[in-house]
Amino acid sequence: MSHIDEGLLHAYLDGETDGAERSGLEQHLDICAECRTRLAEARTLRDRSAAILSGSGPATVTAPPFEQVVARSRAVETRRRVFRLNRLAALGWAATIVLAVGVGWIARGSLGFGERPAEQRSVAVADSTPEQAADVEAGVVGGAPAQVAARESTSETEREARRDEAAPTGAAKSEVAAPGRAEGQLTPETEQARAKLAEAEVEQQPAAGVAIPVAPAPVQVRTRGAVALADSADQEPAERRAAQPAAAAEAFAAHEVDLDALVGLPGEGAAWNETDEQTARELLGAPLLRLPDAAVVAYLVPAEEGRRAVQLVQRLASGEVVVLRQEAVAAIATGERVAGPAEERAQARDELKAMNEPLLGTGLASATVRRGDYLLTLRGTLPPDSLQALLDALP
Amino acid sequence: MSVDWAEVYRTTFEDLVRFLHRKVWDADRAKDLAQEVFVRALDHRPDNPKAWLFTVASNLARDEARTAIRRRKHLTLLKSEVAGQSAPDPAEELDREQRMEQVRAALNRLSERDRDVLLLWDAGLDYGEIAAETGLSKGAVGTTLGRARRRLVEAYGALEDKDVAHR
Repeated sequence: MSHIDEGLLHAYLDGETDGAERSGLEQHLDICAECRTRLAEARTLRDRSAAILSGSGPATVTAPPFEQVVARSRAVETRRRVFRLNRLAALGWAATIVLAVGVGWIARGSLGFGERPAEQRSVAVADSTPEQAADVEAGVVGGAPAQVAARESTSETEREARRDEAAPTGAAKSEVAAPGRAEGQLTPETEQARAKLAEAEVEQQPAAGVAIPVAPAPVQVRTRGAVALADSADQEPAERRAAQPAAAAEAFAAHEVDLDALVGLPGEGAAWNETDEQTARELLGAPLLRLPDAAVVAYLVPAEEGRRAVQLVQRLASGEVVVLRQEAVAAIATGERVAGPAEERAQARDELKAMNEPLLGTGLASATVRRGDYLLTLRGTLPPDSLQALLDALP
Repeated sequence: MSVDWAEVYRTTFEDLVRFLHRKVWDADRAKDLAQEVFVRALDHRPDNPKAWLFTVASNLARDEARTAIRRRKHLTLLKSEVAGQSAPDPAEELDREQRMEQVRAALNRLSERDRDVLLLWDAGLDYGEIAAETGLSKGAVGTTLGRARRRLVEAYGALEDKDVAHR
């Protein structure tokens, strides 16, 4: 009998040979000194390599409670559901705008509106969102709002497609892929959404190439996380306004951060709109605090009227994205502040407690401090102690 | 076939972290990724948990490696600042780091297939599972594993000699 194959020796050592195979091998080993030597050598290799590897692992591994994983899994499912609703809403928006443009088209025909004079068109440009403005300037005049909406919801579905874990292989990239790289791994659902959008685009075609016949209403496109909000009255340079939402989206996409969870507290449900530094400062009525050595990606203010709060989306030098919320304490408390000092303290304590509730299932942590009349909350994917350290280091 | 996921979690989590650790070389990140793998598993409920878990873990680790940013670096810094005295003995830690770096370098000298088979075996998968995971025949697993072991031991030994010569 020829000598035992090296692989078989290892299989034998690893207990991976079946009964018949094993007895055959053992018979041979009994009579072949060379194979016995090779077996001893293989055993040494096996033990040595196991020893080398065992020295390289983490010191200790303690598994977090299984419930935590279950909760995270549920949170993912919930987010996905909310997300689907948002997407439907976005599609609804597209449809509404298509309808509005369509009505305008008919009105144009019956009321005799033709091409608008140049100065009127420039008013429309100033009134519209920067993205619209860009489209208008690029010569794509009619149907611009619908295209904005359509684009928003398309990018939203793509983002969702990237989030949806499809198959065990290959799809792992999905959560970190940059926008525009989702092609080829769209879920059937996304395909459906795309088909709907395509239909929407077909419907709006009559309006293409014509001036917007109806005064453009503020186009409120609620993207995931409500960051990109077009403000009709905004007079800022187009490129700056247009760049910010994209930058924020990119920052989140690149870091697997759940924008919704970062920006809104659990159960808060309020939308936040992107704005500029000055508006944010004026709303808060105090100088904005920011983490040093961290770029501000976006300034967010609540959509809700009269609430004195600002959120700064900041990117740390390491690339982590965190959200710093500053809120006037009086604005957090509901009702009049007639309580005495003791009650006030208790209330403040409750507020702090609520803010510090672990953001279970989001992979996020938060830290809170009170500075005078303002409550500062920092949220991100860093451990709470790191967040606290960053907050404490604020000037 | 219903799978007792709590049981799978209990028996596999540690192996998964070790497996991931040798791919991403960051204990915290390995743990995060292992959790992420289980979160996805609960969503997908695959019938063959072990193979599925390690496949997804492999993919996640590969993506992680592609992300050039070592984004956890500063975290370690921040943590050690906060942790203060509770940090482990620095000399011991340094020794550990050095050893880890050496294992990492040695593993890097193996072909990807050899390395995968070796790490999967070390993570507790049997030949059949490794075969399913890598696409090798069951017979070829032993051969590959034997070669991988030999190369790891040789590469590690060479690095150690070099290290000794340097001192």
